[in-house]
Order: sequence, then C-alpha cells, then structure tokens
Amino acid sequence: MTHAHASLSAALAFALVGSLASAQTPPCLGPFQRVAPAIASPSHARMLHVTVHGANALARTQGSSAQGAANNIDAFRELAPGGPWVATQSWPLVGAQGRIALDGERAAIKRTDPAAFNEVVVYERQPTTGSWLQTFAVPVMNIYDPRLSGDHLVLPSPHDERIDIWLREASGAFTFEASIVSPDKQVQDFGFQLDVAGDRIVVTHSAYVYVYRRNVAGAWPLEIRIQPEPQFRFDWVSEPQLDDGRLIHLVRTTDGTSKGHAIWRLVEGPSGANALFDGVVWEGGLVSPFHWIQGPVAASSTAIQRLRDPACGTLDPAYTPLAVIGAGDGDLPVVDGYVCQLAGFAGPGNGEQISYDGRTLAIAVDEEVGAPRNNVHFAALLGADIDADRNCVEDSVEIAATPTLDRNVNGRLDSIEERGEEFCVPLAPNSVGMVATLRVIGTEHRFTSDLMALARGLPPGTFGVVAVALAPVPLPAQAMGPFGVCLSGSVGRYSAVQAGPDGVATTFVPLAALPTPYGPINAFLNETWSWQLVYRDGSVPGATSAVAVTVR
Amino acid sequence: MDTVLPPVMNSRSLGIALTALCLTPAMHAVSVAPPAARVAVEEPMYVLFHARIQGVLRKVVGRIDGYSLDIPALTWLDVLPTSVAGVSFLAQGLAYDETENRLVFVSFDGWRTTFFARDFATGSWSVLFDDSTIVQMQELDIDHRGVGFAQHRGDQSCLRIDFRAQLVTAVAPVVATTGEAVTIAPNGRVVAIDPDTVMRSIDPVTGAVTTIGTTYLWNLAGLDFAADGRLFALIRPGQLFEVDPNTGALRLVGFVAGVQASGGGGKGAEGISIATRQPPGWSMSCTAGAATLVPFGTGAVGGAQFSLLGSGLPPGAPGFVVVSEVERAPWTSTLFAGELCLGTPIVRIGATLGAASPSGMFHTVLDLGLFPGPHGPVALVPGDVRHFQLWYRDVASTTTSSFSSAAEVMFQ
Repeated sequence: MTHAHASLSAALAFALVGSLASAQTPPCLGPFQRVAPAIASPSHARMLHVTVHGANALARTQGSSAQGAANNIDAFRELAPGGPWVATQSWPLVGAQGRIALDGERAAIKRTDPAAFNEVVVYERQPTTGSWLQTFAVPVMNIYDPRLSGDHLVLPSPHDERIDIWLREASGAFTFEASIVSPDKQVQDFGFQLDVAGDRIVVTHSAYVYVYRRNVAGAWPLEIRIQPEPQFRFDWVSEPQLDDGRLIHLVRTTDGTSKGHAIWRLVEGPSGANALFDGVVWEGGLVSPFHWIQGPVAASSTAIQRLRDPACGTLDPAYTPLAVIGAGDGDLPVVDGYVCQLAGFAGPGNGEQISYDGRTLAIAVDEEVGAPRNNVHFAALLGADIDADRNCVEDSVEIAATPTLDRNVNGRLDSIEERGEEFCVPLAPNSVGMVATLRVIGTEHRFTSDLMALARGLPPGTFGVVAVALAPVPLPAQAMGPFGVCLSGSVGRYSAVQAGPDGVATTFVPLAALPTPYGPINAFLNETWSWQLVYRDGSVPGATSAVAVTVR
Repeated sequence: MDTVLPPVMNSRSLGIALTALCLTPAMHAVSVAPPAARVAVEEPMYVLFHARIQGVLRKVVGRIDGYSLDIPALTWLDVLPTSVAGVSFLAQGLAYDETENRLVFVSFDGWRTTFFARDFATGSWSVLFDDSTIVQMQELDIDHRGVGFAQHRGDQSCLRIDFRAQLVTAVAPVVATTGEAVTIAPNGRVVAIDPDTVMRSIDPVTGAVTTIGTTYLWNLAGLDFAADGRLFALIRPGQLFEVDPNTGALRLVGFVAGVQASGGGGKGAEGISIATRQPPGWSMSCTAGAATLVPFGTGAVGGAQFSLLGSGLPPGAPGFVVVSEVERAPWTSTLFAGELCLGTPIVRIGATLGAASPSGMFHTVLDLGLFPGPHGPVALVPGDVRHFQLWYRDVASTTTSSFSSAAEVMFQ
C-alpha cells in the first residue's frame, strides 16, 4: 500500500531508474510510423510544428522566405485507434505562425500576412468530405498562439496583460465572450504561458498558477490559486499542462539547481476545486537532465520531456531520449520509460517539436537523413489517466468488462487509487484460511465522496462492520484490543455490511460524514483517520488489517 | 625486448617457428590460395569543425581515425587562425593537397573568396590567393595533380581552381548540380550533392552531368572518396556515413563525437577531406580471416606515432603482431584459421602476449626508430616496406588460433 507523501516521489523515480540497464522503453509505446505530407514540401521548407488531437493531426511547414510564402498546413488522419496514420490534405496558408490549436475536428492558426491584417483562422473538418475548410477568421493585434477548447477560442495577449475568450455560435461564427485580466499588476506578460482544458484556463504568472473556470453566466472567474510547495518554485516561463483534472508544471528547486515535473490533482469542493499536490519527478532521477529549453508536452497525466544528454546506448545526440513521466500508483509521479528512436531512423533529423494528446505521440521531423525532407512520426502511447495500471488496455474498457475493478464507481481502477498506510495486519489466517485485509480507495480529499473501505479475504456471506477512529493509532506491534481491533478513542461504526461470495465487503466512507459515538462529523485538513472492519468468523469475531489515511 | 624468429625459414621450419609462437606444432595439409584482392587501408580523414574554446566559437581542423572500422574517433590537430597577414578567415571547406602536403581551406567573407593553407611540414598557415568572384564557396576538393574543384552555393555551378595560376573558372555548362558538397572520384569525375540531396557525377572536362539519385543526406558538411573508392559523407551534427557512389544508398558509419560545438546552434562539422595519395603505399591483403589489422598514423619515420589496430578478435583473446619485410601468397592450414601472407623471415613484435579488449580490439604502438628485425632492432628509413599480421588465440575455431588480414605499409 502506498503512502501518499511528496518526498517519496523523487525516491521512487531514483529506484526506478536505478533498476534500468539502459534507457528502457515505456511499457505501452507502439511502433513509430513515418508519414510524409500529402503534398511534398517545397524545397527549403521545414516542418516546424505538429499538433495531434484524437484522430487528427495538423502540421505546419515553413518556407525560408521572410514572408512565409511557402508555408503549408498538412493534415493527417488516424484510420483506426492506434494507427495507421495517413496524410489527407495540404494547403498553403500565407504567414502561418506558431503552434496550431486543435480540438477534435476544429483548428485555429495564427497568421501574419504582410498584405492583410493579422488574424486567427479557424478551420473545421467537414464530416461529409473529411476535408478541412476555413470557417471563420478573427482579426487580432498582437497575440500569442491561440488555443481551442470545445466552442471556445482563447487568445492570449500578454502585451496587454489580458486573455480574450471567443465563443462559437451555432452558425460557426465566433463572438467575443469574456476577458481575463492579470490579477497582479506587479508582474507583466499575463497570459504568456497558459493551457486550456474543458472549461478551465490555467495561467502561470509570477509566483502562482491561476486556474480560471467558466460559469454558467459565461464569465471566467478565478477558481484556484495554486502556490508552490516549500521545496520548489514555478518555472514561470514554461507552460502549465492541464488535462483530465490534473496539472503538470515544470518547477525548480528554490536554490535553482534542479528542475522537475510536479503534478497536482484538481478535486471538486463545495466552492470550486482544490489542487492536491502529489509529488515531483526531479531530473536527477532520470538518465539525463532535462533539455535546456524545451518543457514538456503533457496530456492525460503523462508528460513527455526532451532530455539534454545522449542516454540511449550511444553518444550520438540524435538519439537523445524523451522521458515519459506520469501519475503512477497512488497518484505518485513516476518515470514510465524513455523514447529513444523514431521510425526506421536511418540517421538524425531535426525532431524538435513534439505533440501529445494522451493517446498519440507525434513528432515533426525535418531533414531526417535517409528520408524525404519533412515527415511526422506517430506512435501510440496511452496516458496515465487512460491506462493507469500501464497494461496497455484502456481502464474504461477493463472496467466495462469487469465492473468489480472499480467498486467505488469513480471511473478509476481501484488498484491504483489506494490511500493511506496499512497497519495491524492479522497475525493468523481466519477460518477460511485467508488473512483478511482492508484497503481504502478513492480520493482522500475532505469534500469528495468516492472514498471507500474495501475488505478482502472474508468468509463468504459473513457480516461485519467498519469502524473508524481519529488517530493516534496504536502501532501494530502493540497488543491488539478486543477482536484484534487496533482503533482506540472514540470509535464510530458504519452500517453493517455483508461479504459477497468472493469474500469482499465494501462501504463508502465519505470524509464529510464520519460516524462517531456523538454523531456524524466532518473530517478536517491533515487529520489522520483510521478504518478497520470487524466481522463474524465462524463462531468468533475477527478483524481485517487497519488503514490510516491523512485527510487533504 | 622483441622476440626474434630464426632468420632462415621455409615451409618446414615454419612449423618450428610457429611452435615458438605458441601455435600447434604439427602441420598438415598446407594449401596455397590465390592472392587475395587488395584493398587500400585507411588514409587520414581531415575534418573542419566548430569548437567552443574558452567560450569563443572557433574553427578547428582535426583528423577522424577508425572510420574504416565503424569506430570514428576525432583527434584535434590545430585551431584555425582568425586571420593571417590581415586577412580574416571564415573557413568553410578544406581539401588535402598531396602535391604540396598541405591542407587547403576556402573562406568566403561576402566579398571575396580566400584560399589559405596549413603546411604539414612546418605547421604554418599562409594565404594562397584571393578571388574576387563573389561566390559562396563552401566545399572543395583537390585531385592528385593539385587541381581543385568547388561548388557555388548561389547558382550551384561547379568551379575549377588552378592554384598555380590563381584562377577560378566555371566548369561549363552546368545547371543545378552542386550546392552542398563536391569531391573528386578516383576515376577523376566530380561528384556533387545539391541542397535537395540529389547526387550527380560531373565530367570535369566537358561538364556533362549524370544524375545518380537522391541521397536524403540532409545537413551535409563534407564528402570525400577514400583511395579504394569508398565514398564517405559527414553531416553537420557529426554522423559519418558511407555512400554508395553508384546509387546514393547510405550506411551509417558512426557518430564522430566532438565535431559539434557544445551548445549546438547548428554549429557542427564544416567539411572533410581524405588525404589519398598516389600511389598508395599502404594496402590490405590476406583478408580470409575474421579479424582485420589496419595501420594508423602518417607512417613518417621521423618520430610520428605509428600504430596498428586489430579488430574483430574474440573479446580478451591473447595475441601479438608479426612482421616481415616480404610477403608471400596466402597460406592456409589446418593449424590456424585465416591466411598467413608473410614471407620469411617473420619477426614477432613484443616480448609478451597482448590481449584484445572486451570489444575485440587490439592496439599496438610501434617505435619506428627501434623497429624489430631478424637481426635485432633497426631504424626504419623512408621507402622501407613492412608487412604486418596479427596472430591471436581463437578457441572458437577448430584450430584454436587465427591470423588477421595483412597490412602492407611503406614508410615515408
């Protein structure tokens, strides 16, 4: 059973790396596929950027002329989940710049045309023909790369300390909805680094990370202000990465000597969300430090980080690995492995720009020796929130096939969301030859309701009750109390439960309603509560192990 | 102290000699194979590259050794001067000029092209001549007669350089042929690669162009032929390839660590030149065995380091080098694997057995002033020829020992 403590994460990363003979591949990385654009790139044009999302990918190829006359947008499509990918369409876009925002079947690209106004061009993929068509253009002044999320187009204007949000109407036209302005006038360039996911916008700014969330009125008020933990500060020039209710951010030790990726979970409370800090993977635990400049791309709680030094069994920097870092068991960040080589990589190319959507890793590669000038390399890689147990099968598929893998019905595998520390493990097997154990699964946050006590190894069909008490708890070495119970103080109890034919009994143990002899109460932050199940074992009482969980 | 074999040896006494060499004494079924095809061995490959010296980006000339063995390794030779006699340099290509035993560099500053040289005999730098034609010349090669060929990055034509007349002329008529690198093939044709990586062969007299194919050799820094016809290409990030001169197909030789300046920024290798000579004084023969023996260094008797590198040995295998003044037709025997191509008398180098590295390499540095001979150590003089082979223990073979290929070296 894991103990959710931040300082363990770095040690875990070290332990993992220490067991590597060389940089090992992530367990569920598929083979790379090299795909050339639909129309051959013009001479001297370089593919500088790719964005992948779902079954679509769009790349931008830039010519060498100052006006960008040779700029092309290249579309790719995944024919089936996991590939193959094919090139479907290429079209010129004069002055196309920066990254391509892509969400589902919609894309937004900034362009600077010396003969016209600057604008953000919106494209939509036509469901009937499968081709991308321009559907709208928003005139802009001086903005950074646009972002898309659902019907929202987000335009960061750090020079104006402002983020503008446009909303798509049913007609396909976009209209201005709201602006978010800097909460802190002391620091400039608000909106310089941000990410958009669902109805949230996360902005790194000065000492904090701000999370804004759209309300039903169409306003985007501040939801959370995340502070750095004492051991680090935010690297405010790198992008926050928000997806699936998790935030990944590049952080630096307070003395600035080391970098790492920190992960938070956003959990819902009565007045919005809270951010639970789960840990950091420091670069010291990897086979090489992080690349100087490039931060990660991340989705589905998995960050892809380019490293600085060759560590793939050769000194050739063309094979410098990408580290794959994600939320692991108990939500502690871990290193899943290293990506060392692209498809049929005859030699080095300039594989500078990476995109990742939680299912597919896409890399724009130009001037790859042995291959035509520009290509996108695609590989399947399931993210940590899609495949938390890293068995290369999506968790939702596993849960649909075997519902008992998610007994607290929160959509996540019980095996990877165990909380707290186990103690008071029974010394002898019970009447059915099992050592009965207890697990507490779910979210250890005081406003969530998916926390569940789950007992295994009980006699089938037996009855029992789950008991709960506030720590301090006796140590396992101490004499056990009546029935082998290790809880003490004011012990509360839940309604009786009956074990199923598989010897499993469960009961929800929400932290907002903890039973005590004096009635139900709320748990408070940083309290440690312990649970244990007492049951009838033939003609005598028996007890499972106990679990202590610190409330967050 | 070197072990000296009996001075008189024939096929019968060789058995005794091999006993002294710890080989199996009995000798059966010796057969004489026809002479093996000769392949020239590794000539020095010079490289121009960037390096950061005390924080300043400088250009450095170095030598890449071991490229024939897929273990390319860089040795620094000299840091280029930023200027000579008031002429500042932005060297962009280099070529070995065997007629003057010098490296010639080309520099283009936006207004004129300057040719300057580093003389191997003196180590000094000098300006050869300026050419006021505004051409962005990045790569050149010099043939065995001292005639240079270069490419014009702007209009991609092929240029001929006469260093004696100090004249640059276009090899006409040429359209879209060069642009990234040029070199001279052993048959005298100019081979060039353009910015779209298409390789072409150009007749230096008529200018007639034959398109060979697309190499996909992006970021090309330099291109040159070895004397045996192998074509090597170095790209700016430091990877060395062998290019099939007939098809343009690529094979990665290896990564040359050190030719890319720390910090990257696209500042990598600028050019290569393989110092081929006519006629080749060094050659390889007797190549039936698994292991290869290659001489390194300049072979100059005046104290320059000369060494022999064996490869393809069993890891850790004991072995030693044997040397003879004469060669003979390859012998095979059930006593040993491979062939023996050394004529008598054969002298063993080194008093003790050496051992191959875990990667199967065997390296011996020889003192040319105290060289083992049948009558004791001698000092080699220019023109001396020696034949070397490496004997090594090979428990995997039925004969338990084997010989590497033979290397013939004429010392200068």
